[in-house]
Amino acid sequence: MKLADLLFREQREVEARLAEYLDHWWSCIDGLRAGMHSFLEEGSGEQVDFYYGRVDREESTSDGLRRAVESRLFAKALLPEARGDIMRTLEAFDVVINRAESVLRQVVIERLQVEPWMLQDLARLIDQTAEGCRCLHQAGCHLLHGRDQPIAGLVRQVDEIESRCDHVEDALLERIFASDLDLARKLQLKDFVRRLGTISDLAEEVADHLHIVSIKRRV
Amino acid sequence: MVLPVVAGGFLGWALGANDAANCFGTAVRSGMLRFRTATLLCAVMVVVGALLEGHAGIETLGGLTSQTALTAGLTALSAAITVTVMTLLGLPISTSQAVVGAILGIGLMQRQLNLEGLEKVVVCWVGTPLGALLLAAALYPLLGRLYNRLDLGVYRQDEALRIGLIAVGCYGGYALGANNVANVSAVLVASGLSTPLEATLIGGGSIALGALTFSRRVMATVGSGVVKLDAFSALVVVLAEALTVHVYAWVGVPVSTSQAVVGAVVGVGLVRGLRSVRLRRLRNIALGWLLTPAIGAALSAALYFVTHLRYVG
Repeated sequence: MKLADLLFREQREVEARLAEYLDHWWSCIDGLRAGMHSFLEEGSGEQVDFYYGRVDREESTSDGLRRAVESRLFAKALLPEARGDIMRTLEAFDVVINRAESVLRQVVIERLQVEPWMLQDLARLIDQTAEGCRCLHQAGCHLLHGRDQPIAGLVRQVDEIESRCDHVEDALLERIFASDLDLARKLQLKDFVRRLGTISDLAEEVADHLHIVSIKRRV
Repeated sequence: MVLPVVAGGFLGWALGANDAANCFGTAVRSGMLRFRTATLLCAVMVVVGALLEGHAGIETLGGLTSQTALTAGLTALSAAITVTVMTLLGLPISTSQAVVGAILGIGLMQRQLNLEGLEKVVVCWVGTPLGALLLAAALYPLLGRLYNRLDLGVYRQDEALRIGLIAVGCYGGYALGANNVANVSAVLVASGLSTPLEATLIGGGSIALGALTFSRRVMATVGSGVVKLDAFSALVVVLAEALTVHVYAWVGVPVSTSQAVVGAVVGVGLVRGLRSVRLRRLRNIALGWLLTPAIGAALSAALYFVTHLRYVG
């Protein structure tokens, strides 16, 4: 064992847990993307249930890891300012996967069906959302492992993707309300599209937070 | 023989209890070091600093006036009481100023004072916060550039800051011993009660004991005060304080570590463009700066007067 590993055992433990957390976080997003594509191709059913189960498990594991990191941080594993930054970042990341899980939960519980003319836009929305989250995941890894430079670029990408997602979401909502569907159906689809669209908004908030943390760390 | 050693030991103990916080307050408060480890490191470094570089200050203070066993005891006792009173008043204190004030008070009563040595001491008192301010203002951007260039991640940055704070804390302890041991030891040497080595061991040992036994509360207070700065700023503040105090150890004038810390905090604040440099706090420090030697001198003169009263029948 290296001397630094011995001296900073607590920090190394937090470091390992955070890396693990980010891996599970990304698995949640990847599960959402796969589950949604399965839903768009085959409708709600066993396959979507499988992905929902996977995302649910990953989200629970992430929650456990987050709590483990937080309890170690409360035991003063890092300096106060780094401690606060890590805790707030973790909580912000967590909100994103909670929302991702809730999208699939809605599909499963409501046995949701979407209109054929929605499929293309929904596929675009989910791909863009996953791409934004991928950039966010990378930015998080860079922050933790010491390469501040790429963070600004990745944050910009998340911001651009969020704008594109907003356009797709707005276009979908307009089409939903311009259609001949009954009001209850319109409201159900609106809720679903809004829920899905919020993921990129939340990702943008986390990205902004990461950017501030990376700037704050500089003297 | 007993009074000077006990009073000197008491003074050293109070000094250690107060000033250890200036070296390790931040490290302890932020949880990077246990209180016990920090005080142990501080105590060891204080003794090492006192033994290796404490002699110059002992010569300067010892040269201000000649001492007997009684006057040595009265000097240490007056300084210790002054320090306690000023602490109770909540004013920032300088043990060095209290000791010099006490030496002067007795020197005045005996009508034998070496003012040449005093000039050097007073100039250094003014230079302490000013020097620490300038050093901190210079070190902050220099070290900051280096720190940014390293582009460390959150963990490695945290580890670098922790190691840095422990290293500068140790250096602060060393500088504290080298500079402030004279406050305790000078009168013992000047009165012929101890050899320089014995006096240094008594001084260094008592400061170390103060750090080990009674510094927890002050360390917590200073730590939380400094942690309002970020860890990097705290590192620069402790480094600037230690460098300043160490330089004065070479010059041979005991100075206040607390005033050096305040100077360094203001220096960092000015560089960072903070609007939070508290004028009221600065006014209190100036007040403490003026009052401490004056009270020390008045008290020692009064004690000298009382102990020399004779009944005339």
